[in-house]
Amino acid sequence: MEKSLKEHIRHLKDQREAIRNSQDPQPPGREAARELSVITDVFLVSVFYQAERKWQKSHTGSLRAITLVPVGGYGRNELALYSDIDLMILCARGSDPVIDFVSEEIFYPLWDAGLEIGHSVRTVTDCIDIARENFHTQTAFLDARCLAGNRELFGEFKKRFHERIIEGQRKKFLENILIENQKRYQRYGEAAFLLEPNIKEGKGGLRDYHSILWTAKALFNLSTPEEMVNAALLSPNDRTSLKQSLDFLWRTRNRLHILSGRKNDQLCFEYQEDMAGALGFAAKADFLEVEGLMREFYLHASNIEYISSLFFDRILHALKIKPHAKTVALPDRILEKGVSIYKGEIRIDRPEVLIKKPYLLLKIFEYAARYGAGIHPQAGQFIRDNLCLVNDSFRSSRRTSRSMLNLMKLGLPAFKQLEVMLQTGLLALYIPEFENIRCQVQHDAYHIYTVDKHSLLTFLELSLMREEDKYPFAEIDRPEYLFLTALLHDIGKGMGHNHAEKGADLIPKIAGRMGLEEDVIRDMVFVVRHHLLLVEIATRRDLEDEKIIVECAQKIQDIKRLNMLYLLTIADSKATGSLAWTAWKAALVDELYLKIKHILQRGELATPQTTARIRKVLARVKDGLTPELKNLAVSKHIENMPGDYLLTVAPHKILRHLQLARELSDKKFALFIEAKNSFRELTVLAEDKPGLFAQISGVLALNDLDVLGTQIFTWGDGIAVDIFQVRELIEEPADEAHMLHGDTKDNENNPPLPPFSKGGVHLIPPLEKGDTGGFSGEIRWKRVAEDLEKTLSGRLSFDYRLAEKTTPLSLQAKKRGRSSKVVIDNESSDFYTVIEVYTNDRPGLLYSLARTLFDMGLDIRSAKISTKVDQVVDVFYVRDLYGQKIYHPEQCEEIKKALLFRLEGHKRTG
Amino acid sequence: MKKIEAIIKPFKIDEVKDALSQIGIKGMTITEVKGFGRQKGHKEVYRGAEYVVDFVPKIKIEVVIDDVMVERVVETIIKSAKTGKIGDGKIFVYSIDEVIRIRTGEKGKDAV
Repeated sequence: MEKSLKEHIRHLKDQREAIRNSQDPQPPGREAARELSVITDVFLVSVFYQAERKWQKSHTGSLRAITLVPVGGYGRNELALYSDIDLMILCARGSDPVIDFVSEEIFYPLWDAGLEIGHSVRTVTDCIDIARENFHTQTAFLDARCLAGNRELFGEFKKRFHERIIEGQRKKFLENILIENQKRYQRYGEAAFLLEPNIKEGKGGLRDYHSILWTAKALFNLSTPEEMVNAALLSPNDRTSLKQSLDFLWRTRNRLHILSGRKNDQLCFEYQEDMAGALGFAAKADFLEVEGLMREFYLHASNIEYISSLFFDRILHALKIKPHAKTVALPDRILEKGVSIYKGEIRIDRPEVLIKKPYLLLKIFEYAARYGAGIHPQAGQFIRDNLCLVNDSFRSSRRTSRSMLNLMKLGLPAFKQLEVMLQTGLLALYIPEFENIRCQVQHDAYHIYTVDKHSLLTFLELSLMREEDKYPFAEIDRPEYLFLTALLHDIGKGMGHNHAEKGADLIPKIAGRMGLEEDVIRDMVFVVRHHLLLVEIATRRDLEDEKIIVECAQKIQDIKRLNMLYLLTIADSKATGSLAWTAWKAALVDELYLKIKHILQRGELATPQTTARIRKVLARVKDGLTPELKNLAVSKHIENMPGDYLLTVAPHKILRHLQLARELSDKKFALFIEAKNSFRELTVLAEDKPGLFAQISGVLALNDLDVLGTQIFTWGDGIAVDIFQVRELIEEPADEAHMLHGDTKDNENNPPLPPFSKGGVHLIPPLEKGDTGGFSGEIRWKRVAEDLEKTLSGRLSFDYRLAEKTTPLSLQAKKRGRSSKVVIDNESSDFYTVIEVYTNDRPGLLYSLARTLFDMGLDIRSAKISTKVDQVVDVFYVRDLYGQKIYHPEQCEEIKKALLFRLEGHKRTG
Repeated sequence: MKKIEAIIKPFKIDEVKDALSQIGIKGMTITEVKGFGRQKGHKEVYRGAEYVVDFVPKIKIEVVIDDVMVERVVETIIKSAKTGKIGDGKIFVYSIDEVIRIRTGEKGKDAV
């Protein structure tokens, strides 16, 4: 007899081992669970009878004072490999020597066989007491069955359980089930479980089905789905698809138990990949096998979730419990022929109404959202039965399109309806492109929702932002298009890499079908294509770099699009998961948004016209490159040229600057002088450093050159291009001038000076011969070059030298104008403090100002000098040496005073 | 052993990470942090709407390494995180008493 027990255990172990080793990629699901339960039954019954024989040998009487009662999952005949074996020993009396005996004889072999047992020993009275207190026990008892032992005892238990616990408590039972479901959803709906769903407890898990079973049994004494169909609690279609989904869940759960080698119902990351392989999922071109598995899983889970919600909706209606408490106050009304709101719910008179007016399939949801009404289960059923009406003409009907846009416009109240539309399949029928992203999964720890869910949540987040009037929602004039874009922003997912591009390519088709206007479609395409732009730039680029911001602004081009992008960016991130939208990221994105907006608002650098112009200038510069320049890596210079430079400097001059820049490899600066009719234009290229501008202005002042205007730029790669329009204050002495003239004459006979002679000063003669603006002072320009060389090597001090020149300079400072004014402006630019100086012109003025700014530790990034008769407006774009704007009021005041002292102080001495 | 803690500009993270992995640093902890130092928060006025930047977003990198690596790691971080402008961040070096790998119980250098 001993041996026989061992054999039983051996046999059970072998059978379980066989299941463990099964390699079948398409194993049966529920069938396998049932089989394992049967195997366990056979084992337990055998052990029970053995024990009975043993008991009878030494005692009188039989084991008939007890009953073996499987409860819970085992009671339902469903076991996964490592499920607990929930077994109750029901006994006639509370204390009986037979109890200890049986416990030993039954439970020990189970433990020996390596099974986890949830065991209890109870009298019928115990059972009733505990069921009264504990709802979980109630549901476990609903699944109880009699396996071996005293059947009458079990019958008594069933009868009393039914009379005492179930009878007359139906509503209470339903309430408890719904509360439990809610609790479960909440607990297993947390982020961790969304990525690693629990097959049993999660939304759409096996437990949802158990809840249906328990409710049908407790309330209507129905035990099978077939009986529920007959009682009109399930539709035949629902029963079929429910069965398929359950089978899939079971197959997954069985395999998961095998893989994890323990009782584990959570599809953790570590198992997902192996699971996908074991269940025969193959990788496709654009997504991983594990994503295939998880998508399938979520499709089935959401199916179960949906069918369960329909079931409970019907139950609530059958029991006349108001599911939509909020809508009680809604007055009954007729919406249109055959459609009405009655007791807070939309009803459809007859299914024929839908056949006659297919647009109602969508319109019903618009009504529901608009009035805050529910949809009666019957109407819901009509809709689901008539989904075949969604065909091409439905999709391109203006009427349905209007309903869709109205839904979009409603925002928050539409969210719930969109969820239902997604669940019924209507959404993916109306927008077939949506089918691709249904339950689409990304196998990472970041995207915690499936793509369809995420799209709806993005819509929700956006509508919440509108509710709280998040800036700049008020600036969005047609929010329905933004909402629609939010719903569709990830439509390209599930098609491989670069989903934003792929999604954008789908938009014209979708929006075109809906009959949206061209410019709306263009905006939608743009926003979908660039919906990652703001986050990417904000987190990966230097937001202090004006060029980056200007490039973004040029890409986006108008504020409407920027606002759409910004709001969508926030909603999208929030809907991705709590990790995706932090105050940290928000700070960066906000900064980027405001800076781009600022540039767009000022409109200088990023209007469509300027963008087009910059593009044209760049193209012309690239076309104009000599082969020699092409060979040199000048593209680095070109890529880094700031927008204002490209907009203000002619392409041929840019090309010349590129030529000049080559000289910087072995020289500190390159100098180029062009004679214009009444002035000279002097261009200096040098590596940018603080004080450079002051040094050049100093050299000009030293050489009696009056600055009429200047444009200074800094290429992004650190080369300063300073252009000065200058006038000679003092004519060169006649003999020198003569000599120079002689030189030019000589030059006429000799081959002309090559425009770029290495190492020298480049002079461009005037265009017209005999023009008075000839190079009268070549010597002066050579001296300028020498002085530049000296100052850049630190061998020249300006102040004392300029002081020595006081006399000739003061000759020129003649008129007195209005007093000087300095304005410090921190609002015009996000990157620079703008200092405007209004004053009377005088020689050396620019040097004085530049020098003062340098002394104050300011870096001049660009400057615009303009002279009108003798009134000068000098505008400097400055930052401190750390690259920051000057925010401190005290410092601003100091700068102002320092500049005024230079200006007014001089006036006093003059 | 030392712990190197570096506060850097967010957009520099990839560069620093790559540079560190090139000198053989295999693991690091990265945190999004906010704070201010010399680079103060500031107030921007935007069309009347004030938008206050109290704290500046930064990234914190933590690496625990053997003493001999300290200099190289610090140099590498400086080189890759530097823009020369304010707000480039700081590097802190701490002494570490002990490191234990939870899985194996290894201690000291082996656990780094």
